[in-house]
Amino acid sequence: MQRMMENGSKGPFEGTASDIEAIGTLGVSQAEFERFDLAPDPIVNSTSLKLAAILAKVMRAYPPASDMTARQYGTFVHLQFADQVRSAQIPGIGYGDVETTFPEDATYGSPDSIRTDVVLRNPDRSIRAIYDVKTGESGLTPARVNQLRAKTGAAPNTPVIELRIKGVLLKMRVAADATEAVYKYTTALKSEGA
Amino acid sequence: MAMELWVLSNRSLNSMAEWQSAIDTAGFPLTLSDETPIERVSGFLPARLRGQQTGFECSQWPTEEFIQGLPMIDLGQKWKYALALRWRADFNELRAAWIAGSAYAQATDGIVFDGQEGKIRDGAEAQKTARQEYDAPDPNVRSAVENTKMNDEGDNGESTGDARLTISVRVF
Repeated sequence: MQRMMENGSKGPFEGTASDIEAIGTLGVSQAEFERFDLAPDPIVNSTSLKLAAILAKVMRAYPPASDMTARQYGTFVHLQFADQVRSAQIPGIGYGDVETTFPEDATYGSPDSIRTDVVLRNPDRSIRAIYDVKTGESGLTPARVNQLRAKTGAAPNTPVIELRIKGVLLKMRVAADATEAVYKYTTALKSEGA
Repeated sequence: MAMELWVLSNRSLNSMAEWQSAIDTAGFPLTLSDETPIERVSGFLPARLRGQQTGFECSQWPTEEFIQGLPMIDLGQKWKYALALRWRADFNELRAAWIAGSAYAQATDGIVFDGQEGKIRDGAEAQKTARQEYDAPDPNVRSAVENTKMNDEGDNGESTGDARLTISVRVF
């Protein structure tokens, strides 16, 4: 794989021809990448591209609806993204590697467990990378990164990758304010009626 | 699929019973598990909402790290405690996290940072947001698409269908 971008820098995206073709198929142009950090592992980088493309595709397919709050929209996008990733059959990401509860033997609802968005696995099932999707304002922090590595049992140098999408947030903020205003208005009406 | 809210406060609740009492006072049918003592909660906290099993991730967080991660946000003052509440792609978890987080903020005179909107709310405002989320039905794909279409067909210029999306991939 060609070098794409310096770690953390901004600039034009340069992937291999097959990467660009795959991303183009998913409807994501090169110009849309604001930042693309390289991991030392080309398989991880290739997977990051595919997941980013799926996330962009989901957000294009489902722009914020007029009656959703920002929190509902974020939840909705995550739900759709999870479905799309499960059905994409990306090598190293099985059906159970999306929204996985850790430790490995824990089930949903286990006290003190954590949930990952997506894990990429090696053929021996060890964790190759952990992905965390962000649709809001706050991002991953070092403490969360450490928590994800520790609770998943991943090696200390396992890449933890934040996939973040921006572009509808300002509009969402307007929409959320409007929704809040409508909510307050209808609540007041109900109170008056009562 | 983690989304987050943060409760910032200068005092912490001492027990799950105290937290549960704050939720009960707010009038929500959410019951937190008291299996793990509050000071040892670090991960999923089981709960029941309207009798259904749900929950959210909950952890005490290094306050300095949280503040440093949001340099653009005015938090009003230096806070002593930061509690992170995370929910996955599940609307009941969203509701549970907001009900519990807003009750915690209200009980400790703290504030809530909404990780989705980037907004700060005091306890009372956060409880209104929790009520809004509690009252809202689960969105579904059909209504989301229909509402988007209605939005696009209007003349208010709010369509986001052509909005430019930028993607950031950050490796830790």
